[in-house]
Amino acid sequence: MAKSTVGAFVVPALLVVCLARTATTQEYCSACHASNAMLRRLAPDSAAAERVRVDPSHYAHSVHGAAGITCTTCHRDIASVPHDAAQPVACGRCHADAARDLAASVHGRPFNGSGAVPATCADCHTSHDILHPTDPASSVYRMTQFEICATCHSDAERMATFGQENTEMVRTYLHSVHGRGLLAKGLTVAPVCTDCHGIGGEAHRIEQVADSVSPMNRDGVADACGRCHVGVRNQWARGVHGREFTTGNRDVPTCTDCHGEHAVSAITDTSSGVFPTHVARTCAACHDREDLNEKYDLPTARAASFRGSFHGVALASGELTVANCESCHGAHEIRPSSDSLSTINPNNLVATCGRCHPGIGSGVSMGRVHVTSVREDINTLAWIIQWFYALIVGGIVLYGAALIALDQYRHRVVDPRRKGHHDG
Amino acid sequence: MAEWQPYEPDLDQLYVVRFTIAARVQHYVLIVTMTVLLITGLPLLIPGIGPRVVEGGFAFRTFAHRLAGAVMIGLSLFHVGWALLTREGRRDFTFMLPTLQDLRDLVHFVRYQLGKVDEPPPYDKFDPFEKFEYLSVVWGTIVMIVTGLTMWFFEFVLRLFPKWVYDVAVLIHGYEAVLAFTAIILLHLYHVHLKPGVFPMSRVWLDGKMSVRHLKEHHPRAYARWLEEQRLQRSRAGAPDPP
Repeated sequence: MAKSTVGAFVVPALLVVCLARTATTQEYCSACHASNAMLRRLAPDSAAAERVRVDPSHYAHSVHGAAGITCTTCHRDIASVPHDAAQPVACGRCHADAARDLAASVHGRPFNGSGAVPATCADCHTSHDILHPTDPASSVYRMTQFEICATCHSDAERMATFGQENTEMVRTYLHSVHGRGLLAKGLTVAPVCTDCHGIGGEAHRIEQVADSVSPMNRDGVADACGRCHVGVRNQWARGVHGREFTTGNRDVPTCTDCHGEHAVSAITDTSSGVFPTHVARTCAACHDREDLNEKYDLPTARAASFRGSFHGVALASGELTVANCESCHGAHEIRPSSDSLSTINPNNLVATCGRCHPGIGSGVSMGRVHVTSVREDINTLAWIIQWFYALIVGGIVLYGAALIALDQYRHRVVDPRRKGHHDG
Repeated sequence: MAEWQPYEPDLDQLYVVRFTIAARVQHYVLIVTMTVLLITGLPLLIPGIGPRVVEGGFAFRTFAHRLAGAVMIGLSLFHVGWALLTREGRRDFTFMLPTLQDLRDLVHFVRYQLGKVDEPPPYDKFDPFEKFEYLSVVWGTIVMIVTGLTMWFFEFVLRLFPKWVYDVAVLIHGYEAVLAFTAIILLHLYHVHLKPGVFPMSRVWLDGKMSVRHLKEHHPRAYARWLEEQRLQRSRAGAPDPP
């Protein structure tokens, strides 16, 4: 909106001012900047030559060239030829909002350590080939935006100068459900870098995730994900995790704790932290933590008790359709069993279990489900059964041993010659 | 006038049919179903045992276990019918029933093995050990079928009982399986493989035949009955008594 407002005023104004000089100025600059012969003579090396080469036909197709904006509109310091090294262009003279946002963002602020500015307008938008962001050929077009981000963020050397170690995130993102939605499915609605990292979705207003104003900061990431995943976010907010989180408790999980960050995958993806075989591990990352269980007075050994159950054994054997944590407790709207709306409230168990086991009897709610062994629940009876069988099995072994011992006694002591034993 | 007796050398040639084909086939089916049940049940008793061979292996395990269980239920029903409705089934089942004589035979057996008496115990067709093993199988099969069906149709069972009943069934099914495996292996190992005079294996489960010598020495009361029948047949046929 800001850009188009600026354009609406500035572009016609410039057109009026510069119209008479347009053709002549452009031709004048091109005499050197588009001429191989001249560049070879003037520039110290080919790299320097490439930096100052401007192809007038390319420029004419750019958003600025098409609007008739001439070289000196931006390069105001150039008044005569030959000229000194050009000063950096101040894009903010026209794009005031964008320049202000960028200057205030992590990209525009000089880095604390070195004083270097991480990124300029041209780093993302290019210099002379700038196209409108909605133009598929633009360097910041949604479908290919990750490439321009990756030029820095996948460059370990460059990121190191700004104290950043993670240079895998673009690659990770491309393999995520979001990245695949963008590339494999070609969905323009798939979130791109700036959708999540831009404050309010504004590409120029990016801050580090650790900064509380970043939409990807743990404090607010649920709201950011919720911009698209509205229903899921609301479910989470109603569940025990979301309710606690909203009241400021940071021990409870938000979106990224279970789903990952750049790597967020569909739950059908085997690499997802909430893929059926991984759910128990993901939940147990907190629910098997002694400090948390003690702090919130939660039952322990949730993962172990699940793994020992039929569901857990079957799941470990590759049977993906059996129940995992989510099947009974829900995914986002998880409520404690004491909550009457909880899927595991005793009154709701028949319905919950009945989703997989139609017609299950109400007996299922009479007795504990999550037990590391049945001994926890039916201690005395289990103890009796256990010893009953231990004694019988032991008795059988002794019985077999006694038969052999008696035989040995007869054949070695009573009747050493083995008289009368020759069965047919 | 002496009564008829088989000649001593003929004792090895003559035989009696100890197990009819119906009994043998029941035994074979029991072997197969029990083997399948033990193998396919083990991964639940000891999670993580065995290789994860193929995708869907666990579902196949469940299917195979239930199929074998269903066959075993069918076998049990057949056995009940056979034992009640057929002449040979009724006769063998009657011989299998424990009596007071079994206790006396057992005491006799121990005294014989210890050298206190010279004559071996006068067993009938089935000795006390065989009766014990048969009744163990009957008992074990009933327990396994009841607890197995409880787990198979737990949705229904939970309409009638609280969950701990199901938990007990799970517990018992596992322990009873261990017991059955131990008992079958150990007792078979002794009675039909390692026992002197039987080693390396009694063949009666294959052809159903037992030599009259074995009958005479190990099942004297059954031998006496056999002798009576032979003599009766001979007198009916008008055969001359031996000199």
